[in-house]
Formats: sequence, structure tokens, C-alpha cells
Amino acid sequence: MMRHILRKDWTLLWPLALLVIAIQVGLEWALWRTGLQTTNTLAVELSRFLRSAWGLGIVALTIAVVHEDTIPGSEQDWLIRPVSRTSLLLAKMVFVLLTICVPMWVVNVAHEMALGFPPVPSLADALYKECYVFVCLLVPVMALASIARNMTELLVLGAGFAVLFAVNEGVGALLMGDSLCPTCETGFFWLQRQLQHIGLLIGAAVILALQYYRRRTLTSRLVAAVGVILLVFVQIPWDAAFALQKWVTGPVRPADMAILNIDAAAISVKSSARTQNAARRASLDLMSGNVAGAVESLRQVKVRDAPVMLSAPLRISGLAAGDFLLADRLTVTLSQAGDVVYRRVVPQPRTWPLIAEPAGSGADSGVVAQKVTLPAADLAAAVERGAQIRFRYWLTRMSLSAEHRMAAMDGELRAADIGVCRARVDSDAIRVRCQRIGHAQLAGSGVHVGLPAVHPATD
Amino acid sequence: MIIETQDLAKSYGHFGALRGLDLRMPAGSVFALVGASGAGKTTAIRILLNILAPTRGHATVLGVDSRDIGEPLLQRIGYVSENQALPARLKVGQFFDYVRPCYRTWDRDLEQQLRAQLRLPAQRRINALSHGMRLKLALASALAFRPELLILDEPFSGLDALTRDEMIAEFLREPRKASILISSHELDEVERLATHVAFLDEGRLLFQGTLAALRVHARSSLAEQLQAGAPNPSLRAIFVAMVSAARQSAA
Repeated sequence: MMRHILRKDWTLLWPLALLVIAIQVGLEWALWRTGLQTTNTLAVELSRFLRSAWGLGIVALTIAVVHEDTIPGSEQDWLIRPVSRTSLLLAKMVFVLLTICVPMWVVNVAHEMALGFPPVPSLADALYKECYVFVCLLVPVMALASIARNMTELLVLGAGFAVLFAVNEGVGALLMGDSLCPTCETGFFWLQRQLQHIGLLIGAAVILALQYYRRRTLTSRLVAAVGVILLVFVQIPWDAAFALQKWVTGPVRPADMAILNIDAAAISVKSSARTQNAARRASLDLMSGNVAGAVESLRQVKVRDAPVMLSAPLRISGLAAGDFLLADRLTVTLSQAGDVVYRRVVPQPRTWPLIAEPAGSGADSGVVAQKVTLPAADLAAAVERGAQIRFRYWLTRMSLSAEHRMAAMDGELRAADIGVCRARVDSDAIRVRCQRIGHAQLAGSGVHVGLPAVHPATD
Repeated sequence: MIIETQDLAKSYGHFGALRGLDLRMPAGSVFALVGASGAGKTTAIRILLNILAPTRGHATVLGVDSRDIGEPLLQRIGYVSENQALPARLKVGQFFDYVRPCYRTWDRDLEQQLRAQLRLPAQRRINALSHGMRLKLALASALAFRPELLILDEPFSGLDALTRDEMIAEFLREPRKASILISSHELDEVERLATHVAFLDEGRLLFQGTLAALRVHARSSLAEQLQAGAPNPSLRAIFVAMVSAARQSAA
């Protein structure tokens, strides 16, 4: 039966399916022509347009095939035909696979092979991408389409869910602030993403089952609305995320332990830039005769909660050459006899390594200045009471897995692990771009060797 | 009984579309479900076909609980409705190609015969067909697999007199094995076709039985409402009288 439904859908939708395939082919061709370091703005604009058209096209085709046999309502022809629900659902899925995923897979493999990659890895890489698009985009779109009678209803529902999502994000940010998403802006955000993708897939599967086997449109819409709310509020707690990451990477061997030391005597406290600026403004005001302005500026300097910058020299040892540590999180706690006076989570920029140099090659080697801004009042109170300051780090140790070299000027590199890379020298930077089908374009960092200085070149 | 319902009810919020329906449709009969618009005829049929779930009560169709009606039983039931949403952009020929493999008992010769008799153009798209032609197409697809039960929901609605006569004379009245459940408020056509009748009003059953039993009942219970001296009152007159009497007593 599935074959007949499939044939019927193809009979009705082949012009749209062919259009989507043509867009896919056009997009891959434009990307291939654009290359990695093009200056041809027309090609860039064309590929940008085709990428949008492709996204729109695959979503429209998925919705159209589901709506050929809509679920909500009571007048559809399929309801009174001896058509099994499983056949109907499978026919829709196979249609999406055959008209969207398979052509996309073929053109992606062709593109990768045109870039010079061997066939087998190309097939596997492209398959990974197609599976991702199917599971994380097309199946949820099918589920959403199945709860609407037509495109108008779907647009209204989609807009409603978008508003619900935005309102929840706003309310969450208002009520919980940074704690709404403990893993955001950290190296563990991939875990949250995976959780969201799994949730999306489970939600879509539940909706499809409810719709195709029970025809419970109202319940399915409620499931979708609850899913939108959960998408915002279900977040992996920090400790759980860290434990999961630790479990994924395996136990740390003693030989791999990195040691962090802070020389307490060398900790320095400075007034923050804001306080310094206020003092500078007060001086300038006095010099120019503006007494009132100077007083106002000085009042700001005296503010009890003005932040001060605490700078702690952090010595890191135990790292092998090429290794570095990523600081995922830092909490600073001021405590006295077990009572916490002040505690703050200090976000760490995840892409910036805590240290990249092997220790032991100089007096300052292996030392980084850990800077933390704290309210002056809290720090003063803590110092008066003889409180202890405690730094707690969550770290990821990164090791060098491969090293590639290429010419900085118009250099090209082909490697199985990073794809095709090309380098281009701009007026003020060396830009390296790598591309590998099945993965997002890589924007990596490199080390440019050959000049008197060593510059991190990023793109 | 080919169809049997017990205390069948369906509510939409506080509105009761069907309020405790007890139907008994004998095998081989042409059973007419008669009522004004909104009487609950279509709701009852949709529950019988498991398109809607009842709020209360239960129904059996061909011996199977209506809630369990699925692929195997739909092999034995033909359905035509004025509101049936056929795949509009298919051509007539493509529609038959799609529907044919659904049924194990599909009779290809009968299909050709029906298509010729109903003058269904193979190359025309369904959305280019008139309302009457679409009903004919639905009827052909419902007859071609020789169903045991044929359910027709307002099949004459919007049809001209000529087409109605043609449908009744050529496809519904000629002896077939199928039992027919027909819902309609076109009482003249029902009278020509039905062996049994059930009157519905505001979701309640007013009467069910053979046409002859209906007339006996009408003469005994509705003498005042029916025109004095009419020896053989029409179905329309009996229906109007019965509904009026029911509404008066309810008021």
C-alpha cells in the first residue's frame, strides 16, 4: 500500500520535488564555484540566496506531502479507504527521504569528490549530514505539519509557537538570568544541544504517533506547546554536564593531571576601569574648574559597591607540549569559618585557552593572570573578617591530535580530518578557511610561523 | 443486524450533536437516516466509520465495534459523502489507479462499466469536475469493489433532478448484495429508495422501522397533525408532523 501512496504523492508533487532537487544541485554548484576564498560577491550572493531557497524548499515539500493526506478533519478521502496508518506514515517519510535526502546525499558526495576526497569517506560524511537534516529538521517539520489542516493553519500555529518560545525566553531571562542556561557560552553547550535534539526528536515522534495512530490533534498541539516551553527551561545543570563530559572523555590518568597554583602573596587588587575612569574624570573636572562635576565623579569613586579587579597569578604545570587547558567555568568564593560571604560564577570565554605554552621555559612561562572583578564592599568585608578566597575551576584539557602546515599566501591543504583548507592574505590578516562536506565550515585558528613575531590568525 | 448502536452520544462542549441513539439496521435493507440539517445524521455516520469517537455508548458495524474499524473492515464498506475531500489535483484515471490497489475485491470490469455509465473523463482533474461529477466519481469508487455495506451521506445534495434520477435508477435501486445506509433530507428520493427509515431530530431518534410500519405509526399517532383524509401520507408529511409533535412535546 505504501508504494501506491508514494506513487500518488509523486504524481501530485513531482514539479515541486524537481524544483527542490534543482535548487540543491544549484546550491552545491554555487558553493563549489564559490570555493573557500572567493572574492566574487555575485557567487557568494547566489549561494546565499540558494541556501535560503533550499531551506524553504525542503520545508515546503515536507509540509506539502504531509498535507496531501491531512490528519486533522473528518472529510479526507484516506479516512474511509482501507489504508493502514503505518503505510501512510512510512509513505510520507520515504517520500521525504527519496526526494530530499537522497538527491542531497548524491550532490554532496559529488561535491566532496570534486574537491578531491576519496569516495568512501565522502559517502559517510554526506550520509551523516543527511541523517542530521532528516532527524533534526524534516521529522519535526512533518510532526508540525501533521497537526494542521492546511498551510494557513500551519503558519498561524508556527507563529504561535514562535511567540510562545520568545515569551518563555524573555520570562526565563528575566527570572533566572544567567542561571537559565548553565552551559551556555561554555565548552559543554554541545550537551545541551544534544539534549534539545533528542527532545525534539522524541516530541516529533510522539506527535506523529498521536496523529497517525490516534488522530488526537488537540493533544498533539498541547504536546508541541509543552515541548516549546521545555526547550527553553529544561537545561542540563552544570555539575551534570561536567560529569557527563567527564564520563564521555574517560577517567583522567595521574600522568595527565595538570597542576594549578596561585601564589597568594602575589594577588593584587586594583580599582576597576570604571573607578579609575571616575577618578580621572574628577581630576580633569577640577583642572577645568568644574567643581560640581568633580564632586560627582568623586562620589562615584566612593561608591561602596564599585567593582575592584583582583588579579591572581595562576601557575599551570603538568601540560605536555601542545596541550592546553580550556577554562569552562570558574567560581570565586569568599568564605569565613565555613560561611560563604560571597560567591560568584565567573564566565570564562570558552574559545580562549587558559594556557597554551608548556611550562618551564622561563620565569613567567606557564603563568596566566586570572582576573576577576568583585564588589569592593564584599571584598573589604571579607578582608576585615579574615575570610578566605577560593577559586574553583572546571577545566578541559585539550591535546594536540594532528598538525598540518600550509603556505600562508594562497596555500592549500587537503587532509582527511579537516577537509580542504585554503589560506589568503588580507591587508591585515591571514585568513584560513577549511571545508568538509557533512560538517559545518571550520573557522579554526592557526599559528603563522616565519615572521619575527608569532600571530594568532583567526577567521 | 448489519449496524447496531446503543445509547450513542456525541457532544461538542455543551452542545449535544447526538443524544442516545439506538439504531438497528437489518442486513440487506436500504436504511434511510432522515433529519433536518444539524439533526446528527453525519455525526452518526462518522462515528460508525470510526472517523469520530463517541462521547457515550457504542456501535457495531458488520459485527465489529466501530472504535475498532480499520483497514480490514473498510475493505467491506463503501462510502460516499457530499463533503468527501477527494485528492483534488489527481486526474480521474490516476484516482482509480490510486484507489484500486487498496481493495482486494476490486472488480476491474465493474470499474470500467461504472466509468462508462457515469461518463467520467479519465484525463480531467478532480478539481475541474463539477460537484455532481465528483459525487459520481466517489460513487464509482465506492461501488467498484462490491462492498457489503454502502454508506451514503447526503449523496443527492446539490445534484440536479436528472442526475438524481440517474443515480437512483442505475446504481442504487438495482438489486445488489450491499446493504445501504443513506442519510438525507431529500425525502422524495429517500421514499423511492428506502426499505427502512429512521427519523432524527436534534440528535434524538424519533422513529425507526420499515416504511409500512412508519405509515401505520403515523396514522395512529399523528392523525391530528397529518392532513385529514389523506389515505397515504407522503414521507415528507409524516416527517414534518413527527418533528413538529416532538418539538411541541419537548417545549
